[in-house]
Amino acid sequence: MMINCKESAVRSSQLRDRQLKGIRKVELWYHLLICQFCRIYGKQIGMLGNLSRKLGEVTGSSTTPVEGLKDIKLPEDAKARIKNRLSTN
Amino acid sequence: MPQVSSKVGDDAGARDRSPDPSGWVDLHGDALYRFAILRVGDPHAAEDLVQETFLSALRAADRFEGKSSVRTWLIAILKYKIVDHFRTTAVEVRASDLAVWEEEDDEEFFDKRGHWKRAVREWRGSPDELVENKDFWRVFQSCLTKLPEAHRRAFALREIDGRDSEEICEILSITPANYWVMIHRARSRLRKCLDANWFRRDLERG
Repeated sequence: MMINCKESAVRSSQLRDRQLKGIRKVELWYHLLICQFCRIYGKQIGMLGNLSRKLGEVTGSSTTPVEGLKDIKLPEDAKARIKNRLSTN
Repeated sequence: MPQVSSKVGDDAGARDRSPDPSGWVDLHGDALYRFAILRVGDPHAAEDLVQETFLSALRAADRFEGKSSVRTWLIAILKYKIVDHFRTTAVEVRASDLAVWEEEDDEEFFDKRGHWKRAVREWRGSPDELVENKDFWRVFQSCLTKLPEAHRRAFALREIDGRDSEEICEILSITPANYWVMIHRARSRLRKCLDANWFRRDLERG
């Protein structure tokens, strides 16, 4: 019934992808009840996912980028090269 | 054909519904590059994908109906280009490599009984706050690029784009078993990198 932290980390990742079922899920919940570090780890990979999704949304939307991403720009030499390619097509 | 606004930048580009390509690079280049670099990591590959997107859009400009903004239309084309890029530049993932990475990570994080070697500490901040922080973004991007290429691709498709595992296995030509190992290792390494380079430093900064 008892799994260790290493296995708990693997299963927390599978839980995030909704791939954990049955006894494997029960074993994870049981471990999380008694292990604070693994509870925090689960929260952190959840936050990583939320953060990544947020980045995906803000870069994929047609609105103005958020402040944190505004410095990322297509280099000027690449812009010139692409303009040149577009003009010759 | 209506002319593209002479105002250059993200605000003007985001509202643009004109299919006139003369101002595309200035209006949409930065936004497309941001989209691509976050997913493919390599700046040169991102530039090439942006160029390919503009060229494909140019060929299809007559079919653009203006139902969405030009930016949205271009991003939709870029999404296909990125998936094609992943398919045509498939990274071979050998079971032996996965086993080595797994062993290295396990030794780094866990003791012989499989318990954490170091305390796992809470993180501060919310995704909304962090995404607005330029310094955090730099650290996040740096951590992402440190992942093995195949792991990074799996992570980008799953966590940034929200694709399901079956689709990711098909795009990356990997087995489900390899995918589960890769996505777990990607999360684990990215968590460790952000913890060391941002969240622990954040605690030290007070």
